Amino acid sequence: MSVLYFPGCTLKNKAENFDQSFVSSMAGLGVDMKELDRWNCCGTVFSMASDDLMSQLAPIRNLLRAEQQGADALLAPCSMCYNTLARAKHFVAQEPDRLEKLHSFMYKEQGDYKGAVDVVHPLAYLRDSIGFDLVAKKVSRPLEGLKLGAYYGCLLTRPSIVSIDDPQKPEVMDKLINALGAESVYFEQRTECCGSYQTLTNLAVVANRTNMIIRSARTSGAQALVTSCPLCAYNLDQMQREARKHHSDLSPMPVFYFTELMALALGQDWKSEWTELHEVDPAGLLKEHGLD
Amino acid sequence: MSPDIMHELDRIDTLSGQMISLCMQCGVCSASCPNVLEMDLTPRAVMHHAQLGQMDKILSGKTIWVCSSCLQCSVRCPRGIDLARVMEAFRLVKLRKREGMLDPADLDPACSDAPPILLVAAMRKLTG
Ligand code: SF4
Ligand code: SF4
Repeated sequence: MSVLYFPGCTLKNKAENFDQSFVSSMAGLGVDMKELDRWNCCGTVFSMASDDLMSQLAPIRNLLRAEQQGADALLAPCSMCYNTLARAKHFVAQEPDRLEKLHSFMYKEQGDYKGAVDVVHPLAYLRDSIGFDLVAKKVSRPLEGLKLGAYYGCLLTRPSIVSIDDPQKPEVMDKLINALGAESVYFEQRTECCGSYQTLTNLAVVANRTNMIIRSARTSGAQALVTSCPLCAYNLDQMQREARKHHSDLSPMPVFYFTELMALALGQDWKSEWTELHEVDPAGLLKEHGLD
Repeated sequence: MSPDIMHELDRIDTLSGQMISLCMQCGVCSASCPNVLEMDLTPRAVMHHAQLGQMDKILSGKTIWVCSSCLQCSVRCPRGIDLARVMEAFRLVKLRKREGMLDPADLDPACSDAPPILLVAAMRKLTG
């Protein structure tokens, strides 16, 4: 299977730790993966209006390129990119004339989009194409003693048509955490929204969500959260300071990308540049478990 | 119902691809909504006012802007209504008249610290 990587804007910017740890982990697992050539913005949020074809142009253009570059699967680690690309694929597959109209806008592209390339989230790829058994075998530094809360948020499991797992009871990220030698912890808020784009206009929403999510994880015994979305990471990590303004007893909890943990467990070193992209420094926790 | 109201309702139904009249006012959406405490109308109340044709109440309120499109209501509605799409349709009625709630000129320069997906998502959802 030929796989291409769709990084999206944030992994090349405020979430370089996500990009670097993803690329190195996939190499560590022996996956031959290249970055999609000439990718553009995924569209970020899927337009839910029935008449808004224009917003589907960006994601479909990416899928067309992936197809033309010979990919069977396009791996999108950012939850927002994954969700937008996967929903756009379904949206145009529902009615042929949608695609026909889109083609008339993509006049600079050679050839038509056929809908052949799959949009795949790396967590699903690890489960279905690599297998967690193999991942566990490749682990050279098990994350023993770490108790981690897999935070799925909204976009990995909703709507169900693009869900990477059972939408009500997802376990794919928990299984990865366990394959890496850590212990995954179930907590109530694992599929509840982080507040998403409300950060810009309604900080109270996000402060409240962050407080609830971190408290829920801590009550269940988690020492840190794990995510696959840079916006969730921002709201849960950087916005802890806002949450603390309203809830002064909220003690800090580090937030990891699942790929950072994977890179660590596969034997790569934690990079000091990654720490700079975290607000709550995970160094103490890692050190405590001999993982620094 | 007056023809004007019918027309308004039709417009929201068409834009969202949902049938507002199907709502049975059970309140599962409001109970599922993580942002309900910041809203002036609960998601159920939005559906109620929509059914009554009281669009102004919805369009002038906070709720459609506080909704974060998390789809929790949509997956749980026992009547199969994708309420997140209804919220989007109401937002679009405003946005397409250039009546957004976020003016990029008002943004705090400190937000350059934010990840690009936050800035783009907020502007796509909230800027007219
Ligand atoms: S859950 Fe569905 S049927 Fe119940 S009040 Fe909300 S929209 Fe109406
Ligand atoms: S989609 Fe909007 S209304 Fe529905 S539960 Fe989420 S925030 Fe609430």
